Amino acid sequence: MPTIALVLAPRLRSLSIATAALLLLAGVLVFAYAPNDADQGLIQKIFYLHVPLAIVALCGFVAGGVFGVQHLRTRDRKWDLRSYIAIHLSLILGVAVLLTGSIWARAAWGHWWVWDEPTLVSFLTVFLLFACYQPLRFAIEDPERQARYASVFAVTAAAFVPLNFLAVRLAQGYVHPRVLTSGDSMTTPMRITFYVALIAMVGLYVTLFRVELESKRDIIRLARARRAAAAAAEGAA
Amino acid sequence: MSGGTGYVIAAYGVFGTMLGAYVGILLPRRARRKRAIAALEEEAAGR
Repeated sequence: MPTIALVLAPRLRSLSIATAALLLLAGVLVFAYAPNDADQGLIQKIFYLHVPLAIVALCGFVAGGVFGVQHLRTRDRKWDLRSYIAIHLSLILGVAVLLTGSIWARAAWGHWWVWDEPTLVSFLTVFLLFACYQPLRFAIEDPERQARYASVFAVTAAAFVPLNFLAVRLAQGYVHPRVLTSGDSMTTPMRITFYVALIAMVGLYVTLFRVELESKRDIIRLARARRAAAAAAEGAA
Repeated sequence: MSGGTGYVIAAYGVFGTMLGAYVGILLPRRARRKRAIAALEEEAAGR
């Protein structure tokens, strides 16, 4: 059986196709429909990628915390698995946010990183905080304790995300462009392009989340099948 | 390259490369696991 047909069940395949179509549409809108920004020129197009990535990554961290709450409430391991995947994916998107942001900063400000800009530093703080999730998780061997401690960490760290967002909004250094609040800076084609890019990024996150979830379930299924095969072989001997 | 084209290509290139690498690792690994599960189940059914 071909790899794609094997790994993507029909519903997941439909979601993947819809996401790919949305990403393609977003790409066409970014480069063929949205006009160049009068102030920043072509480099503003990085924002159609960078900002949706940042929004989805931060929402993913919060989702990880919400799943963590569900796990602590119900003690059902499926919520821990979801929390782990949400944070794992957000960390990967977080790397892309930091890289694309740095590229934009170099083009716009002439520096790869500016330490006195609150948005950059606050995102880095959140990213580094969640980067501690995996070492903490895998430092604990007992699966029950691992899941419980990881959930507590996810909930605590997720609470930090809106707090951080608020702190940035209250900060004085408004050097970083505000895409969603400065209404006059975006024309209608730019706004449409931005929202399509955001929906495409949400679709990408949901698709990868579903694929990862199925993949992790396969690991559990495979371990069970191996144990059953070993037990049967022992029984036969 | 003028007007920041290089930076735009770099930003979208980074994202494309990361996404490609991620999917390129994830899907074949899942396919391998699926095949292993199917083989074990077949073996169990044959016993």
